[in-house]
Order: sequence, then structure tokens, then C-alpha cells
Amino acid sequence: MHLMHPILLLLFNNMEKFILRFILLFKGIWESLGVNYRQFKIILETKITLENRKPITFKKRNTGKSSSSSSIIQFIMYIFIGLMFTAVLILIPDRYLALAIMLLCFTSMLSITLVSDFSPILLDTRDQYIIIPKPVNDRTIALSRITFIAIKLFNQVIALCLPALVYVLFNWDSIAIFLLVLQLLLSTLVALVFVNGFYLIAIKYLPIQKFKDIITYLQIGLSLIIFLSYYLGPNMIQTIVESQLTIEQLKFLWIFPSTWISSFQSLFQGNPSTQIILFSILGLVVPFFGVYACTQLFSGGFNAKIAALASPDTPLTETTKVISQSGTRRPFYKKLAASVCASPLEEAGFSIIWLISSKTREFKQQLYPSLAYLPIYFIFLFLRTGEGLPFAEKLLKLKASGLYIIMFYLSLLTILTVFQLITQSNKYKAAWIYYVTPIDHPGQFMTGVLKACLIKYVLPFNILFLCVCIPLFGIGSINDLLLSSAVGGIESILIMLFLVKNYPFSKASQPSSKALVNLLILGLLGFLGYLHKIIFQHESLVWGLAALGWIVFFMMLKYLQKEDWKSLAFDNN
Amino acid sequence: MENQSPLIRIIDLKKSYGTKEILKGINLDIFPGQVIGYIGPNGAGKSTTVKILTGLIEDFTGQVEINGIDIQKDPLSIKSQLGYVPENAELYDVLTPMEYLDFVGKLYGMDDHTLQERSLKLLNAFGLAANVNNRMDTFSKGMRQKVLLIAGIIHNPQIIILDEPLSGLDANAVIFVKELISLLAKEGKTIFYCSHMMDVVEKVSDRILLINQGSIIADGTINELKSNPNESLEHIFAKLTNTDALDASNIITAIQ
Repeated sequence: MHLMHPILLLLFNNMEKFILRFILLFKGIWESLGVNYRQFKIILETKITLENRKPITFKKRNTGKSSSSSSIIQFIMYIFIGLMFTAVLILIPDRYLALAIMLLCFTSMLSITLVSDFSPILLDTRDQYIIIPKPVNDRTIALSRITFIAIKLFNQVIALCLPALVYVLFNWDSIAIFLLVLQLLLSTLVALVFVNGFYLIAIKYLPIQKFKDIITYLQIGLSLIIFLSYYLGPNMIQTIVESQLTIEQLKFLWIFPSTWISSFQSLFQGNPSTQIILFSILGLVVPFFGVYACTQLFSGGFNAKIAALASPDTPLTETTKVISQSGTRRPFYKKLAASVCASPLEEAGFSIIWLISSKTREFKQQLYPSLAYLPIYFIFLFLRTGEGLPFAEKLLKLKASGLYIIMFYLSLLTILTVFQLITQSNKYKAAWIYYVTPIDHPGQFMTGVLKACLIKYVLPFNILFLCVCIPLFGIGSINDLLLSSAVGGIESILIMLFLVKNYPFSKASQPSSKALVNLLILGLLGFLGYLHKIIFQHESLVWGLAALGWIVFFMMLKYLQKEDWKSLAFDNN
Repeated sequence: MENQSPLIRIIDLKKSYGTKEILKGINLDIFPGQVIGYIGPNGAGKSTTVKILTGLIEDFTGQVEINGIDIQKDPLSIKSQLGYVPENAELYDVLTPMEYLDFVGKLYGMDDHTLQERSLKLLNAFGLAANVNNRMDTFSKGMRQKVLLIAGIIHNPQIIILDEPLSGLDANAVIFVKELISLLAKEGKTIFYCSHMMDVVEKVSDRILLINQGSIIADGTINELKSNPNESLEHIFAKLTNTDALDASNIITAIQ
């Protein structure tokens, strides 16, 4: 990042400020709209400063550390995605199809980021405490909110479109360029309508907690889509180019507004079939009808509902059933903890991990994308091995090569991610409790932590592998899985001993600077996987090593329980 | 009282951060069943004393003994006799009260059955029965404070250290907690109560310690500290600690 030219850096860094300065030029217009200009200006300037100092979104959310350049990093990220869109335009020769696909990507990307990035702005409770009690009129508050969202949106749209616009400027004629700008604007409108619709429906039918959870899952979904398109996109484009597919053949594309909007190019290039004319009309009318519908038909009380959502005084729902003294039903995690842990202390370690990891949004947001890659890798491995061969031969090839074993080892990388996340939390101050309670054997507590991590995040993958591999590759894959999971167990104890230096959820989230360690561990796992692949046909050797691995694992577990964890000492600040 | 041996004995306790000496040699004997009101201005050394007593700060000079056990030699056995409700209390609020209490109780080594039974009884007694299975991130400040109070006494400790325990509680809950403190004292518990709320300290404590600039400058019952019968603890506090007096009239001048 620092290699960038300083002027460029300044430009990117101040993009939002430039847009704001431009908007503020129209003082008269704002005032005629009933806005108090001085308040409007200071509210927007402050919001942009806050936004710029916010921890970087996307992967490392809520790092707790403020950054002064999060906007540039995001801008560059969008430019990069914009480049991928441009690639679609360049590679697919049929312009209509290329545009339809590109605009579909653009609209989907914009919609998802709008929902995930703008929800915190809409639901910002700070406005309730800071701005609303001051003598600021409703118009100023409403318009500053909308303008702020518009600035962010504009910034994002520019970044996403810039590469494509630069490309067409040199390669297309002027009418086509003008049409593309129009198409991009209409697509932005479609995305806005879509997001608005999402909010209207979500607010109507979902409680606030569920609503926020859905946003989390959308973010996870977004990173998966980017990941998938990175792997499958080139293949798909290749298929489209080689088989010379057109919109007429790809009928599923007809239902998307992006297809209708992209028909303008064909309309003006002298190919006005009935279908094209119909699509063009739809493409022009639907976005505006959507805006009308959202603003006039469905928006009754929308702002009031948003305000209610952001309000901290959501009434507390009380459990209706009366809790009997004799005891409530024992929850599943407690049964599990009791069956795998030897002492209350170990159970405490087990339960804190089990519960907080399931209930904390930030934790899920950071972990789930990295877990979800695994099945995708698996499918990808399967697709890529022996391309063009029939299914049965593909299976035989996979079985003979032992390549699937590498998957087992790749899945062990999850442990590393989990262990890096479990020590961090936004609620790290709650960790005082560890230091005032008589924890006589920290090792026992940490063993509980380890067991919860293994059962929750490693065991399910092993069961999944077992379910997939036994039918596909036969009973012979059991010993391979046993060996790899023993290696995983040993790996997790080593990571715990050498890399986990804090109690669970006891330090502020921060970007980890352990890239080298991660790379080393990845390399080591890859190497072990490779060694395993070499010997995997010697069944008895694999059985022997698996047995040895498990013995070593249990011995190390005993050692872990006795470890005194000097590194867990209280940091007095 | 003086015939008993002290439950907490502090001898020449000193603590410095860099060159700044926060505690300048504190000497104290606290006896079983006493309710100690520990007061002092901000930065006087109150929190440091509490952190040392609870085992959060381990490097200090001097001696702190609880039940005859040196805190530096065996902090764990002392921690198991203490209950602590911290100031600005933070808890893992994505958990339900039952889950949180289960976690805390197990850190004290309590068994599942006792823990379950005691948690339910205590939550009931604090008026949280209807919320036992709600996540605490939906709780008011007062409700969280109640959960922390429960977490501080769930293992039935002999000494209870309360740092601003009434923050966020409504008037009824304040009356309830004051009553609870005197009942706990009657049960023989020793209570170390830190607060800025002078009226409450005056009412609940049977011995008041005033710390200023790292030294105890007053120690006695409220009647012993009073120089005349009409004087309140607030007055005594102001008289003894207000060396660099703030003048509210300056504020009025500034905003005019």
C-alpha cells in the first residue's frame, strides 16, 4: 500500500471528502430543502471522519484498532473487483451476454455490500444520543443520513465501475459508452430498490437479533461468492466462449433485471427483435417503478421502524415458563462437557468456548468463511482431478492418487484459525473473572478449551469426510482419516502450548501479525499430507502410525493438563 | 472485637507505578463480621488496594494476610475465600445469567448440582427468575449488576469485596442490597465496601476508612469521625480531602 504514489494515496484517501465538498457547494439548494446548512456540514464531516477511522471491514472486522485509511483499502478492493467485472467484458465476445453477466455481478455485489455495510449506518444508535437531543431539525437529520449513504454509495460505484469505464473509453464507440453509463446508473437503482425491499421485508417480519444475524450470514455469503467466482469464474467464461453461448440459450438469465438493462446496446445497434424491445422497456421502467413502489407504496412508517430498531430500549422479552426450583432441563453442551471433562474447571473452559463461539456475531463472521471454504475445496478437487473422465474413472483416479488425503490435512488449518480467534473478543474486559477466581490448574481449564474446539470445529469435518470417503473410496480410507486426525490433535496441542498466550476471549481483537507462523504451519501440514500420500497404500503402516499418533495425542493431553501457563498472568491495565 | 485475631491483616503495604507511589505504607487489621466502608477521592489508591486484596496485583511490598495466609505465598486459597464485585463491571453478556453463573461457579470448583440449585435460588431472590434464560445483552445495567452481585457470593465466600455495587440499581434494589449487606455481616461475613456514595457508606458501614494520596487518614465508626453530631460523612470527606478545592462558581462565570 505504501508503494503507491503519494498523490494517488491522497486522492483515494480523500475521495469521500471530495464528494462531500462537491455536495456542499450547493448551499442554496440544501437550505431551500429546509436543511440547516452549518449543522448539515458538520454532521457529514464528522460521519466521514468516523467512517474513515473505523476498523477495516471485509475480513478483519472489529479489530478494535482504529485505522486512518480504511476508506482507501476498501476503495482499492472495489477497484480490484471492478477489474474482474471488466474481465467479463473483455473475454466474452457477445457484448449483450457479456454486459448481462457483468451487470448481474455488479448489481449483486452492490446489493450485498449495501446491506452489510449500510446496516450499521442505518442502525447507528449513536445518532439517538448525540444528534437527536440537540436542536437539529428532522429534515437536517434525515437528509444528512441519506446524503451520507449516497456519498458512500457513490464512492463504491465509482470504484466498481472505474476499470470498466476506462476499458470501454478506448474500445467502444461513444453511444455505447453513454449507454453503459446509463446502464450502470439503472443497475445501481435496481440494487437500491432491492436493498430497500430487503429492509422492508426484514423489518416487518424479523426481530432485531435475527435481522443482525441475517446480515452476518450475508457477509459470509458474500465472501463465499467471491471465493467461488475466483475458482469457477474462469471455467464458466471459458465454457461460454468455447460453446458460443448466447442469451437466447441461457434462458435463466432472462429473469434478471440486469439482462433487461443490458439489452439497450442491442436495441441501438440495429437488432431490435421483439424480445429486445420488450426487455429494453422493462429495463427502463422496472427500476423507476421499484423506486416508486419503495417510496410511495411500502414505506409507511419505515423511518419510524428504523428508529425503533436502532433504539436501545427494546423491550425485554421475559421467559414465560416458570422456572422450577428443582432444576431446568440440562442443556446439550453441559451433558457433553460432563462426559468429556474431568473436573469443574475443565468444564468451565469447555462451556465458555462452546457458548461464546456460538453466540458472538464477530466470531462467526471471522470463522465461518474459512470453514465454508473446505467443502468448496473438496468439490473443486473433485472437479479438477481427471477432467473430462467419466465419474467412475474420476473416482478411481482420485482413489489411486490419494489426493483426497491432502484435504484431511488442509482441514486441520481450521484449528489454527479457531485458536487465533478464541483469545480475542470485544468483551475482553469481562476476563477479570479469571484472575479473581482460584484457578489452580490453568492447564485443566485450557484442556477444556481445547476439547471444545476439537469437538465443535474438527470432529464435524472428520465425520463429514468419513461419510463422503467411505462410500467413494472404501473402508481403506478410515485409517487415513484416523492418522490425519491424530496429527490434527497433536498439532492443536502444540499450537495451544506455543501460540495461545491468553485466556479465551480475554484480549482486544487485533489484526494478527502471525503470517509467517501461519505459513510455516501450513507448509508443515502440506508436507505431512504429502508424506502420508506417499505411504497411504501401505495399509498396515498407516494403521500403525495412526495408533502411535493417538497414543502420543493422549499423552500430550495429560501433559497439557499439568501445564501451569505462566503466560496467562494478569495484565494490569 | 480486638480480642479476636484479624481476618485481614495489612502491614506496611506499598505499591508504586514507576516513580509514582500509589500506596504509601498502609497498615490495617480487619475483623470478622465487620462492614468496612472504604472511601477516598479518585486516584487515592482505593482501586489499587482492592486489586491487591483480590489478587489482581501481585507485585507490591509489605504484607497482606487473610486468615493467616500470606497472599503472595498462596493467592489461590485466598481467592477461594473471596467474593468480588468489581467497579465498571464487565461480563460476557452474550451468555444467559444461568450460563454465566455456571461458568463462574465452576472456576471456583463448584459441582454442577449445587451450582444449578444455588443459581436458580439466587436469581429468584434477586427478582431475575423470569430472565434466567435470556441473553444478558438485552439486560439493563441494574440487571447486570444483580448478576454480578450473585456471581460474587455464589461460592459463599467469607470476605466480600464490593466496588461501587449499587451502580445502575433502582431505589428498591438499593434498599434490598443495603439490607443484604447487613444480613451478610450478621452471618459473620466480612465486607469491604468501596464507594463514592457517602450516604450509603455512612448507613451500611460499621467502620469507615478514608484513604487519601496513598495513606489512610481516618479510621473509625461514623460517630468517632464526626467532630459534631450534625456533621455528615460527606462533610467529613470534603474537610479531610479537599485540598485543591474546586469552585463551582467558576463554571457559571465560564458559560455566561
